[in-house]
Amino acid sequence: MVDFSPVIIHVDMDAFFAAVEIRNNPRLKGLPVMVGGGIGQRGVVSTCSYKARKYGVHSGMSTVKAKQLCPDGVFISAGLGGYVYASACLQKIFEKYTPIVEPCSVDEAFLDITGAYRPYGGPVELVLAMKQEIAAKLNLTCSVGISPAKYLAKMASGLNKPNGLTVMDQSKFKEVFFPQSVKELWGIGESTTRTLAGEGIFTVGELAEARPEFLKRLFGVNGYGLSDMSRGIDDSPVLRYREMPNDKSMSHETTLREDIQDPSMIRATILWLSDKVARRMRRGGYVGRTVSVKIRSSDFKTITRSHTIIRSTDRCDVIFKTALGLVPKEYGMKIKVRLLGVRMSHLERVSAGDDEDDEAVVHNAGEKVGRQLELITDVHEHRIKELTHAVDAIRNKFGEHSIKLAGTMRSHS
Amino acid sequence: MYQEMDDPIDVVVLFQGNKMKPSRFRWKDRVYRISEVTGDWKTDVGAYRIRHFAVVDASSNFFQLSYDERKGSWVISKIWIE
Repeated sequence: MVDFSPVIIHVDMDAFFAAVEIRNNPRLKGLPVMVGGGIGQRGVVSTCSYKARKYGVHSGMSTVKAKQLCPDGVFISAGLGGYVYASACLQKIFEKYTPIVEPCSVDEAFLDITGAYRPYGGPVELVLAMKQEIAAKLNLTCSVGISPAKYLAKMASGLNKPNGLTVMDQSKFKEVFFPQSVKELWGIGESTTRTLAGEGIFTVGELAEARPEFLKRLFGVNGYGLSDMSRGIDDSPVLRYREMPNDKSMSHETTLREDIQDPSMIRATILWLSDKVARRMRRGGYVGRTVSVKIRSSDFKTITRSHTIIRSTDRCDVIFKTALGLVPKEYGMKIKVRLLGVRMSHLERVSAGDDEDDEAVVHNAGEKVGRQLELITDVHEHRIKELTHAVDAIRNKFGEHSIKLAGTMRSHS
Repeated sequence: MYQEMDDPIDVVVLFQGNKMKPSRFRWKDRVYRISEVTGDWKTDVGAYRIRHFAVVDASSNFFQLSYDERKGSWVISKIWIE
């Protein structure tokens, strides 16, 4: 009898950035290694080795706090080139085992191995072969969850880290997670945990017993999703990269080298961030309508402000003017600023050649949407478009740092 | 800790299959024999590519060597200092 039930695995690289650093430099073996933004005392830890985790350090922790907890630790500025390349090598290994690979981040992926495991003898044997190949070719380890559903596979991969392999069906999910706090579920944050606690729901088992309609009243349509998550129900398919929906937003943010109280420096940094976002959008073939800024003050209070513009754009000057207008005046005057971010959302994919043709068509989630014709030919706009093309061409040939907007020279990142 | 640098070096390279493998290099008049290439990756700078190699010598000293394909030249880009 042939078994047609899906077999999905979630592969999670163990302490990926730190592991790549330790692999590259054997002198780091056995040391508490922390990898993060290269801005001295003011960055955050992106990843840390398991040795560093024993000191209480974790991803997202400020470098200052990490240094307090682990003063003898090794702090390394993230060298993204090496990680991205290792990630690309991983992707190639995954695709040797199955064509259905859904990358979730630089160090995680879902693989549907339903039709691929038989030549290996079974799903576990396929995963063991894959883990062995990753170790041999990249000298890195990963933890893998095997399950009939994506959500269960993700939960399973986190159970036996590092270098783990966990097979989990729904009955094992109930056995392992029902007694645990709801915050152990993937996708449940502090706010949801607090709301549930207010209703007397603390464990996954208690959440599973709650009626979906009750959860809908608390969380809207997301309530149904919560109910499914708590019971380990997930029928979403593994999507290949080309099947994945368009990026929902693109953003850049930076923690400033020191807190600033200088409007001109804020202006320069917003321009620098807008340029990076606009450049990324053009490279990806996107235009967007909603501009957001994120500002964190020196007392760690964070605000975000958004504005939706009439015409979708990928132009730096439009994003910059909108973003700058969203920064409240007291920031940089009375309030010191620690972090700045610019984000574009409501993105639409632009068809090839759109820049040359005002009548071009934009695609939004597979639908075709006509772009409104400009009634008056705007010479200024045309010149900016040509200038942008020229700058892009220079950067494509000579690198991102080969040409800069003069206004970004004072940016304080 | 790491020290970033941009010191030019001479490198002896083996071409194995389609892979480059540095085997020794001369830096400041001293020759270092590479005992292991622990990692290699590439970064794009515009239309050009830089190949990076994490290597250790016989005394387990760490070096990062970088080859600029456009210039055809090698530098030491990073060393580890105890």
